[in-house]
Amino acid sequence: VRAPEREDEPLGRLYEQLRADTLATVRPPGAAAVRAVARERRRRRRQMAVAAAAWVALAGLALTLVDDGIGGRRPVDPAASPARSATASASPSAAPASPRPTATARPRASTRTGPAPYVPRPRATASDEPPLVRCHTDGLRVSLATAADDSSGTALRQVGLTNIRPRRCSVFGYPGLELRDESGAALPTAVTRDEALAPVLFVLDPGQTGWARLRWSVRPDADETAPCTPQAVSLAVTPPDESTPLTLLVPLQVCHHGEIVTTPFAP
Amino acid sequence: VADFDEFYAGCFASLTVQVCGVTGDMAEAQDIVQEAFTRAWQRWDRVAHYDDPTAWVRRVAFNLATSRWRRARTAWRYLAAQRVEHVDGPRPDRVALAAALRTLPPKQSRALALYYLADLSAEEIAQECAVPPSTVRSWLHRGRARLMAELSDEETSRGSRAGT
Repeated sequence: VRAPEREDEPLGRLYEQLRADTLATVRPPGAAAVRAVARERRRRRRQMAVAAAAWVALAGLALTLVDDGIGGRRPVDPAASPARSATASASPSAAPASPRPTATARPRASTRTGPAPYVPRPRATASDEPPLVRCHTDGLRVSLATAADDSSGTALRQVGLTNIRPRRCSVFGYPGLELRDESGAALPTAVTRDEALAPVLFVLDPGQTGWARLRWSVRPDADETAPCTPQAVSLAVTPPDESTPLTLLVPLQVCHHGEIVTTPFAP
Repeated sequence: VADFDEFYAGCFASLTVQVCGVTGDMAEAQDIVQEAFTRAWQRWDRVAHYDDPTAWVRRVAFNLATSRWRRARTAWRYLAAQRVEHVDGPRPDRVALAAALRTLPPKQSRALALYYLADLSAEEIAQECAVPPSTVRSWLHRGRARLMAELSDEETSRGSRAGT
């Protein structure tokens, strides 16, 4: 009874849209990932506890040795060798403890999820690996692939961004596009985002390429004449969230006053 | 384990929607909900016996969502994303809603999310937040008014920007 009246008001409709959009894009990382993260945290906590215990033991030992030294029963120099044996006795206690949790964790994981017991932690948690950063313009190369020119007068192209850096980086979103003439000046360009496809965040490993599909008309509109002028000689492509573009030197004929429809980048 | 899997599969999406109603950021909402489920699993023997484990996870998720540090980071990320606008596409209303949500006090955005996205009544929200229903009604009222004001601001500023 409540729901319809909520959807009636404008705010309710917006929230409904938010709900629909979110439901369409949500990708649960999975309950197995939850357990893997919990397991990893438990393991780290134990390691920390063992390390802390080792430090306390070591500090205690050192204190008693210093006491002995002050007491004058021993010179300071030989006291160094018992201290070394103290570290030696502390580390074996740390060593057998760390394989134990993994040994108990492994078989449990394999009964459930098969041979991959470790699932990467979600982005929110702290991690040792370098953080995944957005691909920047200076780490990318741009390319253009011809998909097809169909008979209805639509040009279909794919713009590719290739990661030329030795580090992985992420891409999320649409390309920025601008047609340019011989002098590099901007020509009228009307970019339409294809809303049918939601942007997805994906990772470009070194050397990998992500693609966005473009389409435009090569038939003149009613108020244009063939060939559509002005003719573009290059296309500036700005990677998502970047401010500097990459330039493709390629003659393009884009009718309908420079209208280009683009999808978001995808692997 | 089986009941946790079922619990996770059953409410992950709806909780993400509700958290998204507070943060306005889908990816972040998903991270937060995953973290909340991780905390639930770490004490699952207890949480499983609660009357409503979903409410527990939701509370944890909302607390994570409204912690100051996260809000700051989200705002920063939002600004970073806004810095360059390469394409003059129409910004969907939803983006405007997400931006407006970020300006609300957490109590109001939380109440609105519970009302519109979790389909709870003002009385149920009052119970969940441990406040009198009248307080919830005022949160809802003020939150709604502020959201609408933000949204119409957005509209007018967008209009003037298009004009220049």
